[in-house]
Amino acid sequence: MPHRKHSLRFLLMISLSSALLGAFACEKKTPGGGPSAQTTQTGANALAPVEIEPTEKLSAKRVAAGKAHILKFECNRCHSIEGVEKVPTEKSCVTCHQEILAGTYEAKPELIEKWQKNIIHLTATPALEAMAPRFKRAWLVDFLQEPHDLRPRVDAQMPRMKISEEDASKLADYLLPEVYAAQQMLPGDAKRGEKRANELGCGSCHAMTGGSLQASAIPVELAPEALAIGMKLAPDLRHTRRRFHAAALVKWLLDPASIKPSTEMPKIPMSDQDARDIAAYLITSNLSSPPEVKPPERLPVLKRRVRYKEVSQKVFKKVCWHCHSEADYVGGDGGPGNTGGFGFEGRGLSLAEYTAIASGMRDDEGKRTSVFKEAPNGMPWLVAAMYARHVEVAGGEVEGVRGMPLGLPPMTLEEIQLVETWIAQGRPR
Amino acid sequence: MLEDDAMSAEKTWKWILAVTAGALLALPAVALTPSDAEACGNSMRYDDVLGDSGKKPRNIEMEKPPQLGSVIRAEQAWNKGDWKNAIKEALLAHPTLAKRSRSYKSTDDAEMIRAAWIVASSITRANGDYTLDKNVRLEPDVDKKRLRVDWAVETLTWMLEKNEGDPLFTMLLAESLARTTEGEEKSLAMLEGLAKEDLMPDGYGWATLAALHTRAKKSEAAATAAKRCNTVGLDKKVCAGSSIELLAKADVRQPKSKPRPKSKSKSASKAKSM
Repeated sequence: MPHRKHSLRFLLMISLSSALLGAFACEKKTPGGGPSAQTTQTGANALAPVEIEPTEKLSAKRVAAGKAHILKFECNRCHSIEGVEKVPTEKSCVTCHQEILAGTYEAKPELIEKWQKNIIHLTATPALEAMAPRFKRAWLVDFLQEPHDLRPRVDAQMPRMKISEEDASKLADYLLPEVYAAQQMLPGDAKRGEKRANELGCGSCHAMTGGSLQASAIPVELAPEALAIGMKLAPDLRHTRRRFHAAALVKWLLDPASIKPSTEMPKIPMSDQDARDIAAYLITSNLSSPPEVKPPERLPVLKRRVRYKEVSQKVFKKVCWHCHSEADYVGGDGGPGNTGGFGFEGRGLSLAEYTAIASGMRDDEGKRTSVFKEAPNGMPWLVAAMYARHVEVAGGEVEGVRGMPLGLPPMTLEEIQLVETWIAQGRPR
Repeated sequence: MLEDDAMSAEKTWKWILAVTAGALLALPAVALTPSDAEACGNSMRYDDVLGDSGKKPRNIEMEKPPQLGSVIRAEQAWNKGDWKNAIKEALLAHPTLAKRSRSYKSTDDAEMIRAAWIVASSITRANGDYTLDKNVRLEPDVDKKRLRVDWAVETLTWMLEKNEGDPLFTMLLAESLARTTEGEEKSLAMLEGLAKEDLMPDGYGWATLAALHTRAKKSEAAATAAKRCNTVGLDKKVCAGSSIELLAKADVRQPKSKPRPKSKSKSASKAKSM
């Protein structure tokens, strides 16, 4: 699994570096925004402009109830959301990481330097703005309940939270406050759309799992930072057909910022016909099944002695205590996994100290229960939670156990092995 | 058309070159692996975040009261079994918490409450040997030892009432009760409950259970508890439970002390402690 993690990072670096260089290489060929030549070549500008107008607006009461749900699930701890106040830096994983990386976080320089080396996850998330014109409600409601890997180049995923269908519907009320009627596909040539998508560099940022999209240079000049963020957040186009309203997709392809001004998606010069053809390709082309991913096998317990100090340094205080900390020392907020957050009730589980770990957590009935007890799959619960994350990443689910760390890449098999060994040895201090 | 194809071929070739160059550039970055990643706010309990910069604290992690360092040091000493320094550091941060006013009961300050249970547990595990003031010293008078353990019992009872069912406070209170003649039975029930649920927070709970079983002449149960204590990492001497003293109730009919001379300074009278 560490190899997989490194491989992903490797691929990301390759893609990033190559796209940066590719963008510059291509830019030489199109001085003065040269791709406009391609636009005129198609001669399709006579098509009627794409109109997307809402057919209904949800009542202010429904939207307000939706906002209360946004706040309940603390969506604003990871996302910037239109009309929702920002949380303080120390509660926003992403802002905190961004400030540390930018060196603007108020702390001693040596600490900033130390933390900068350690930050890998949660450095960029999409802003939840102008979603209504683009996205289908049915997709959003499903995604909130059963999130999948939408952005393959972001190592964190939308976490699997405790969101019921009713919750998801209320969240959607706020994020999609306007209703757009089912939109007919605009006439387009999917075959030509495939060709144009490959020529216009869509594949340099986007993946299209099971599709035929190829990586190619982007025909516009972009600031390296903007390109890097854009590439990172680019969704897997496999899901476009379920996510997007058809007409909105055409408008989006033509000028993304006309719908969402803060988007990282650049305006790629293309004709109306190109946009319709590419939309047809994205929505109707054949997709093969995604490759089957099997969760890896756990490693056998180690024969050497493992003590708490090692497990704490390599696992608990490396990852877990971000959400399971000692509340007394951090203003009473022990994180979502201890005092509660992200819509979760506090489980009272601190993974910051030996005595706290051994003191277990609260179960669904509020009763204290050991984190070493056997989970339904026979593993000690603590191990089951970490292993369940591997299963979730592979597209599965472990009944009764939520994968940890929530929404982040799984712990490596070696890290899980260390915890399992420590437990098997009687949890020596 | 041919020109277009040629341009396209050149573009593709450049793209391949760019990918290769990108891959080579990426290699050193791949070699970097994450080291220990301490959390933002959580790690600040150990780091002096602002240092000498003199900047105004901006967020809650930085608005640490100055006594926080002492509470952290107290807990670190407590974790090492250094009861004297645990008491000293905790009382340095919150000198009033062991006074009769029981100041920890009327505060929302989580760190002060933490300091209170660290002192109560340290006093318990030291069998009441140390005075409860910031100039903590050895004072092994049996009656005073018992009075200090009584203070610990009262403090930890309050903690457990505030945190119903909490295994740590259950264990700490049980440890205190195990040192009093009238609290043994309750202590045994509490510790057996934790053992049954696999919720014993650390080896001192097992050691206390071993001591209680030994007193009840249940040698097999005592050995099992001592073995578990050994496994989680305490030394054999502690795990046998022999270091746990049983203190009889203090004689409350002690003659009242003589009135203090008026000339005594305020600080001198403050120094007098349990």
